[in-house]
Amino acid sequence: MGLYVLKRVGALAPLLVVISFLTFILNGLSPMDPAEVVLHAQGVPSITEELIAATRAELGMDRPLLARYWDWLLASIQLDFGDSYITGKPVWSLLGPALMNTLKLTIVSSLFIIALSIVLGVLCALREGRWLDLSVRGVSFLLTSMPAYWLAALMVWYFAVKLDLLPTSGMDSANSYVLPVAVIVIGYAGIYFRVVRSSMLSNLNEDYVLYGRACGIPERRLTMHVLRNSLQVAVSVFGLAIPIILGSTVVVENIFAWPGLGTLTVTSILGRDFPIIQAYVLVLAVAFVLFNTGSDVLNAAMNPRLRKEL
Amino acid sequence: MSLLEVEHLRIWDGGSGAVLVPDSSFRLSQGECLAIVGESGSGKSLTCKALMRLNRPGIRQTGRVALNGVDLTGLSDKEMRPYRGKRMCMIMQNGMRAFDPSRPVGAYLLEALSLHGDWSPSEMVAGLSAAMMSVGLSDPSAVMKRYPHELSGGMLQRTMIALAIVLEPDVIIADEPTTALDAVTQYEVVEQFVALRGRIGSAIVFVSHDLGVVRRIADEVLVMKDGVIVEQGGTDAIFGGASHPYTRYLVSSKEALRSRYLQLMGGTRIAEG
Amino acid sequence: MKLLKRLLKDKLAAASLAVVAATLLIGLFAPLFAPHPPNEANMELRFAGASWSYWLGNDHLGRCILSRLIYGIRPSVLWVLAALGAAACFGAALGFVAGYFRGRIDAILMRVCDVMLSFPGYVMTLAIVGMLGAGLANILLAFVVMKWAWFARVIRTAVMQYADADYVKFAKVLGMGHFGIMRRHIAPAALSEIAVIASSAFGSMILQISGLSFLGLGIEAPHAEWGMMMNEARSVMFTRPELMLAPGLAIIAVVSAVNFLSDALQKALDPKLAVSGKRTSVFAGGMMRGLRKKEAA
Repeated sequence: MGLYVLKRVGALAPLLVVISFLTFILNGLSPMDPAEVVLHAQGVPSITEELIAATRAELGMDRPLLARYWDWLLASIQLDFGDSYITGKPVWSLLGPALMNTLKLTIVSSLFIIALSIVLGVLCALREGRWLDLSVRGVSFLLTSMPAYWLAALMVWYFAVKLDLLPTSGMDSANSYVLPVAVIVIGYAGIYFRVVRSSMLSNLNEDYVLYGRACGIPERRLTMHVLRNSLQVAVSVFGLAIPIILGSTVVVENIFAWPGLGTLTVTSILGRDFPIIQAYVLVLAVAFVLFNTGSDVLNAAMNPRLRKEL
Repeated sequence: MSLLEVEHLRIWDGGSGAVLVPDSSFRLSQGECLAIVGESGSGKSLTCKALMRLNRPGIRQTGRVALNGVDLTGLSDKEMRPYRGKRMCMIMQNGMRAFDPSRPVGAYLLEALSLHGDWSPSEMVAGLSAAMMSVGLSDPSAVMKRYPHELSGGMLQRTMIALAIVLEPDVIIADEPTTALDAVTQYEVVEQFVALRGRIGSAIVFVSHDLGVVRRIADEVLVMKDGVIVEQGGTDAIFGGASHPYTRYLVSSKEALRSRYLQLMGGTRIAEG
Repeated sequence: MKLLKRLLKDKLAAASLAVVAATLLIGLFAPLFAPHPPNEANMELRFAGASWSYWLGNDHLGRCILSRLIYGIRPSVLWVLAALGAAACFGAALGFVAGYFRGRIDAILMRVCDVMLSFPGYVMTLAIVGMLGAGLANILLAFVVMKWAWFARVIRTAVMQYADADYVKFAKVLGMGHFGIMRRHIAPAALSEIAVIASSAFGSMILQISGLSFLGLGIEAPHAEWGMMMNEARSVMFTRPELMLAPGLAIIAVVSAVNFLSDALQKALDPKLAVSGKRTSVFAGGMMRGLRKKEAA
C-alpha cells in the first residue's frame, strides 16, 4: 500500500510540471499583446511603440521562455500569480476569497450529491424495474438534458420572485445556498446516481451474492456487502466529481451572483484579464489532478484486488 | 419416502413469458447422487436454483419441491432461510467469483456458519480447519486469512466443499463444480465429491456436461434438452443402452472422443477418469 | 443499414432519430422554414404574444421568436456537430496511427492524450476562450482541442484489437498496403466506437455551447442562438418569464433526443447490453456510457 501511494505521488510530479507549463504558455495563445492590454486597461490615451516595449520589459516579457516559466512557477507555488491587469491588485487577493466561496458551494453541493445518489442508486437497484426505479431514472434523464441556467432561471422566478421565499442572488445567509445548491445537485445527482445504481446492479448479479443467499445469509446483510463493493467504484467517480463540479459552477454562480471563481473568471474573460484566467486554470487543473490521485489511493485502500495488481 | 421430491416444476421468464423448463419431475433418495446432464442452456442450472428458490426475481416457477415432505415453494423467505445452507447447500461453478471479493474468505465462512448453529467462534474455526484439512487444504488458517483473488479456483472450490462438510446438509447441489477448473484440479475436486458422499451421507445433485465425471460419481442420471427431461435412469443403464436418441448422441460423441484418444495413445488402456 | 434497422425497431430511438434529423434539416434549410428574417426588429411588436404570423410571439426587440429559434439551430446544433466531426476525424486519425504503427509514435501520442484528458473539460474551454477571446469560433476550437483525445484513445484501443485479428494479418500477408488495410478492414470496425462516443459527447456539447453563450462568452449579440436568446430573455426574466420557455424547451428536446439516440445506438451496437430485454434499459445505457468514459480516463 505504501509503495502504491509512493508510486502514484511520484507520477504526479511530471504531470504537474507539464500541466503548469501548458498553463504558462497558454498566455502566448492570445492574439493580443499583454503589454497592450495592460496599457488599455490603465487607460493610457496614446499607445506608442516605445511605451509597449517599455511595458513589455516591465512585465519581463523580453526574457527567454524557460526562464520566465521558472520564475512564474516559483512565484505560483507561493500563490503569487502577479497582478490583475485591470484592477492592479494581486491576483491571489481576488482569486483566494473567490475560491473559498466556490469551495463552500462545491462542498455543500457535493455532499448532497453523494448522499442523494447513494440513497437513490441503492433504492433503485434493489427495486430494479419497479415504478420507483423507472420514475427516478426517467426524471433524472430529463434533468440531465436540461440546461442548468434554464433550470436556475425557472427556480429563481418561482421560489424567489413568485413565492418570495428565498433570496434571488448573493451569498448573505444560509438561505442563499438553497437555490444554487439545488441547481447543482439536480444537474449532477442524476449522473452519479446512475453510477451507484449500475455498480449495485452488477454486484447484485455476481455469483457471490447467489452463494451468500444459498448459504442462508439474510438479504439485509447481503445488501450491506454489495453496498460495500459497489461503493468502491463509486468512490473513485465521486473523487473526480468534486473538481468537475468545482469547474462547472461557472453558470450557476453567474446566475445567482455568487461571488466565486466562476463569476470572477467570466468577468476576467470579458475584460481580458489574463493573469486571473491563468491562475484559475492552474488552480483547477492542479485540483483535478490531485483529486484524481487521491481517489485512486482511496480506492486502492478499500479494494484489496487493486492493491495487489499495483 | 424420498428425501427430495420435485413434481411438475415449471420455470418461465416473467418478463417475456418464455417457458424455460415446461414440466420436470424427479426424486432423490437419502445418500443418492443424481447427475443432471445436458448442453449449456438446457435448463440444468435453472432447475438447480429453482430447488433452493434462488433464481433471480424475473424468473418465475411453479410446482412442488419437497424436502422431507415439506413443500419449500410454500415457505416465506424467512422460513426458507434455514433451509438454505443448513439443509441444502450449494457449490458454485466458479470459486473465484463465489466469495465476496473485499473480505477474507474466513470472515465469509464464519458469517455463514454463525447463522446455522450455536457454535462459539473457536468451535467454528476448529470445525472449519478440520474440514479444510480433509479436503486437502493443508494450511486452513492461511487460507482463511486470504482474499478470494489470492487463492486459486480449485482451492476455493474445496473451501466450499469444506463449508458443506461442516454444515452437514441433507442435499448438496453442485452446479457445474468442475467446469472452471483445469484437468488436474478437476480430477482432485471430483475425488473430493466422491469422498464427501462417503463421509457425511448427504444426497448430491450434480450438474455437469462432462459425462466422464458423471459416470464416476452418479447413481442416477437425468438428461435434459431444451428444458425437458428426455431420459432418466441408472448410470449404467444410461451409459450402456440409452433409449433416447439425444442421450445416445451425447454418449456416443463422448465415446468417439475417447476411442479417438485411445487410438492416438497407441491403443494403451488409460485409466478411466 | 442493418444497424439502422435494428435502431428503428426501438420506437423511442426511432422518434429520437426523427427529432434529431428534423432539427438538422430545419437548421440546414433555415431560410425555407423561418417565417421572418431572424434579425428583423419591429418595435411595435415588442413582447407581443403568439399570433398567426408570429407563432411563438416576439422578443424584446419585436423579433420573431420562431424564426430566431430556427436560425439558432445553426450555431447551437449544426456548428457543434461540425466541431464534433472535426474532433472525431482528428482524434480518429491520430488514434489509428498510434494503434496501427505502435512503438514510439504511440507512446508519445498517448502521453499527450493523458495530459489533455487530465484537464477538466469546462476549465479547458474557459481557458481557451479566455485567451483567444469570446466568440463562437473560439468555443468550437476549444471543443476540438478538448475532445480529440477521447476519440484518439478509444480508436487506438479498437485498432489494436482489430489489428491483431486474423483477417487483418491475412491482408498483410497478401501484401495490402497500410492505408488499404486501415480503410478496408479497420475503419469499418472502429466506426461503431466512434459513433458511440460522438453521440454521447454531442448532448453535453450542445448544453455547454448554449451555456457559454448564455454567459455572453459565445456568439455576438444580433445573431440568434438558443443560449443567447435566453441571455436576452434574462433581463426581463421577472416580468416575462415565458420568453425563457421556447429556447429552453428546444434545448431539452434536442439534447434528450440525442441522449436517447446515443443510448439506443450503444444498445444496437452491443447486443449484450440488451440481454435484459426490458424497454427501460434505454436509461441504463447512460451509466454504461459514464463508466466507459471513466475507463477511458
